[in-house]
Amino acid sequence: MGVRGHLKSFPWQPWALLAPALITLAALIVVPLGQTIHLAFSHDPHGFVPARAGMTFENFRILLGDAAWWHAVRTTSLFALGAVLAETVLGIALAVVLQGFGSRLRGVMLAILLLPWAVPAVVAARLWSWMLNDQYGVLNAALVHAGLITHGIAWTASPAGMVLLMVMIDIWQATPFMTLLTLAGLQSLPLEAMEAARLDGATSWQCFRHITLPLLWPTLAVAALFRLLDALRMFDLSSVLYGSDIDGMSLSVFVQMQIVQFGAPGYGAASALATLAVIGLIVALFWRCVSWPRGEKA
Amino acid sequence: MTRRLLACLAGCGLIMSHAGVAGELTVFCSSSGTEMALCQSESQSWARETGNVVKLVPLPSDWGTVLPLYRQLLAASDPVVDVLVMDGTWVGSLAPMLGALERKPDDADLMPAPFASAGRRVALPWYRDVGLLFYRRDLLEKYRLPVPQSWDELEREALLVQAAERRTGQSALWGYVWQGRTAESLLCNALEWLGPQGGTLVPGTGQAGIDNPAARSALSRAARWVGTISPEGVLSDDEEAARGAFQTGHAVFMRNWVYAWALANDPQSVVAGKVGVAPLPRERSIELPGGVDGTVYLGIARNTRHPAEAASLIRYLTSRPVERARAAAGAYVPARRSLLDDPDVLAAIPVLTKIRPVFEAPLMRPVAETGQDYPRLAWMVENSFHDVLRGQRSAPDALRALSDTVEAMALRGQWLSGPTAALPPQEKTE
Amino acid sequence: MIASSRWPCGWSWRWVAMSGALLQTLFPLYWALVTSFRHGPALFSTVPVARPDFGNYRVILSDPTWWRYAVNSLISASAVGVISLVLAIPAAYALGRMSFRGRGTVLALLVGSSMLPQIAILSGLFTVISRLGLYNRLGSLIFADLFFALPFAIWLLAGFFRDLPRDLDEAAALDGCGLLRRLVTIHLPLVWPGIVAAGLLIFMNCWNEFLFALTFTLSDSARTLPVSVGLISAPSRFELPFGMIMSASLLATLPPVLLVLMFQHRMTAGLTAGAVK
Repeated sequence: MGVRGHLKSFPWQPWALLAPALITLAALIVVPLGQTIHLAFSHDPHGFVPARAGMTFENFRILLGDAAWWHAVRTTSLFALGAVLAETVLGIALAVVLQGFGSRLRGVMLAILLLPWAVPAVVAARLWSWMLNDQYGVLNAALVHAGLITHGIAWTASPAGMVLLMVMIDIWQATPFMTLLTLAGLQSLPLEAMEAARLDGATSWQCFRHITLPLLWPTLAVAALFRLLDALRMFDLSSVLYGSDIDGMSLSVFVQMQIVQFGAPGYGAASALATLAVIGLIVALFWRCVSWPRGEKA
Repeated sequence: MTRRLLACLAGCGLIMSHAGVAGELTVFCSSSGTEMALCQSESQSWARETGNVVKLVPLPSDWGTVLPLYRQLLAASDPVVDVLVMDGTWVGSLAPMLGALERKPDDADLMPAPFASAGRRVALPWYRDVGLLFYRRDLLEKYRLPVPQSWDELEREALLVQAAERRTGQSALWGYVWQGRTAESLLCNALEWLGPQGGTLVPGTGQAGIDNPAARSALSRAARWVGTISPEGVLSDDEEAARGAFQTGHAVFMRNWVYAWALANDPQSVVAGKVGVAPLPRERSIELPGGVDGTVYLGIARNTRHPAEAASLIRYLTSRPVERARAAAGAYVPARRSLLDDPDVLAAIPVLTKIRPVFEAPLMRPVAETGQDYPRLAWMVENSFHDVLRGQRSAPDALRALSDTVEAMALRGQWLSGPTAALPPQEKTE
Repeated sequence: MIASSRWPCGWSWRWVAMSGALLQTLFPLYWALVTSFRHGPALFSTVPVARPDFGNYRVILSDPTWWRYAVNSLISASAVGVISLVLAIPAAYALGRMSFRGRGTVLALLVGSSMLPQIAILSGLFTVISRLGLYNRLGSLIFADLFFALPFAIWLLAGFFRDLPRDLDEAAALDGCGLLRRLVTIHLPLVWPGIVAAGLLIFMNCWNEFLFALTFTLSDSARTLPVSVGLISAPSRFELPFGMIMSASLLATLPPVLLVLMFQHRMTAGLTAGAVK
């Protein structure tokens, strides 16, 4: 801060700059979130019994024992961590491969790779489930034609396959984003360090592991954090692919089902708050894990 | 600044929301081509006759997103919608937010009866649908097989044709395709396998619950089909996926709704002219044919500004002449008993003669018995049956757990009983 | 170079990996294109080629309501982009370049709000929007979309402002430059790539937004493209006209794709520089 900041007792400048954005956000979030918190402690209607008045912790008590809820927690965290990990690794690998091409060719290829990123998730989900259908899906038809299988494989018949398919679609859509970031990071790396290491006789893997990766790490960590936040809130894929199937249900879909399909706003609100807690926990753990190696290097 | 902007916006909103013409009805109709066109012409002719104005709003094509939309709109303080088209499974959940309809002597002809909840009639049946068995007539004739009357017979015939055809090189052929995706239609399929013997999901006094030997064997039999006469992919199939398999010639039998008949016989369809339709099989062939009822209803929003006009419109839409014209123009099965034998209707929907008995006594889902709890009940039933079909759980286990859950829900939601004082806390899901 | 002896081998390995990636990327899009040429029973065909038949496209492009939807999408996505940037730039400046008590709290609140699932505030937001009289108007979408656009924009831009050299401020302050003039004349031109990147990403997100659009709009006058794609129906209830849906989806995906192709370089530069630590 400049000299003027010290003269005033209250730092009004930053708050004046923040005010418009914070007021808008408050208008968007405070009232709805307040309503959600209030609902979470209210009773729901059941069958022919209208909702009772008064506060209750019952929604949370029931949630703790709800197998479907815990299933959604597992599905969501598996999906999010699996997808983010795979996308980061594949993104780095693709970026390294791309770096070996000339700049014009690289630009064209990157542009092509980025196409799926612009496709809405709803469309991507429908398209993939269409292609993977065991009877008229083109991928199974190709495999049968090639003589590898005799009957179409039902990819989503098992719970593991269901999560895997969501991860695959997410990889298709989001890997190019990670590639883009990594590539830009690779290009901005100091060449001197690499040359020096090369002259010292380091292999390309050693170069990558001890110079490139640590330098890329901060960029990658933030990018992965954003991806993780998105993946933990994922709604479209699970909803379009599996509808109300507990085995493929993400946390957002669980909450949405309670509120809009079952007409249980209280239970839905309680599960929304619990979802927020789960997401916060996973993000905090993730951040600790990815921050640690950076601290070690610094 | 922000406050002034908000005030201005709120003002604009007020002006907008009061701009509606007196007597203007907002009607929600399916966005499907034929239905939308019929809805348009029918409501316009009512508007002309009565001097009102009708505004149509198309629904999302995925009916799964409509119930949420309705809940939101009906709960809003400002009426947005006057007349709604509803799937039979939503009526129970929406009932408290729907306007009451007066009794009319003409109502006796409606089939199924108008939907009543807590003593109020809230919805009139508009057109009907029912679960049916579609079969490859050519293949059954080739192997000299009759149309199956019982589920065991269907299983035998499917195995036989499938094995024989695969020997001739038709390696992609399967016996039976149906809707195994965890969704409402799986519940329909399951109720059809179970039949009246399999007990009911919501047992009244003196009725057997879902946990009984007949239900166990019916469910185990269906689980056995997956991977033998039905492809494993049937577990993620909805109506369209099943139709896709059947219409590309990949299945001998298919369970589907009435709509599949016209599409399977489309001139471009591989199986056009080779398809037959019949009532679904039963546990034993002597039983009356069953099939789950898929009637679509009409209702009025409770907060409508024009209750009289709205009631007049839905009475018009469900009247005899309009229902008859609808059958003739779009092959919609009328929701009036007297029209099912009407020569004009039979001429428009020739297959009706073959499936006529099914409409007389279809299997009903327990929508009226469970009130607002039906969607949650259906969700738990579907997931529990799906686990059995996928082999993750045995049928007896699943049925026992399901029966306990249903009992707990019944107690909590006071199904089938008058209001009592005690409300013991029970689990929401298992 | 040392690597020159390994060059041919490494080169072919690169090509194999790259072709795999390109095939995996393009095939689903190709299949969407093939499907969009088909209708009726041909949809279920697995023949990998189709004669280009633009019937589905013609139906959509000749329908004025589709153009209306496209204009609605364009208006709402651009408006959200512009409004969120206008609000986010000063806020990001404060968070990125000033140290003051409560900065950490504000940052934490921003992260917290980007953890909120849309569905958690949906019904409450519906109440607010009806109170404001915005229901079934494009304004409702613009307002609601700020929920995810604003925290994202602030977060991204704050990283940019932070990375600018510190002596910039001091020199400007000594010259007697006011806060706003400093922001507009000195800093803004320097963070331009970040602003472009944030604007584009927000535009794409809002263009594809589905849940809010479905809940807050009802009639043609306010409906956006993703919801209208969801409204495409066949003549009967259960039938799904996949060819039509795919052609509409591909058409609706064109604008964001074009944006990506046009601004790819700027976006790359923009995204890498901004990272709050």
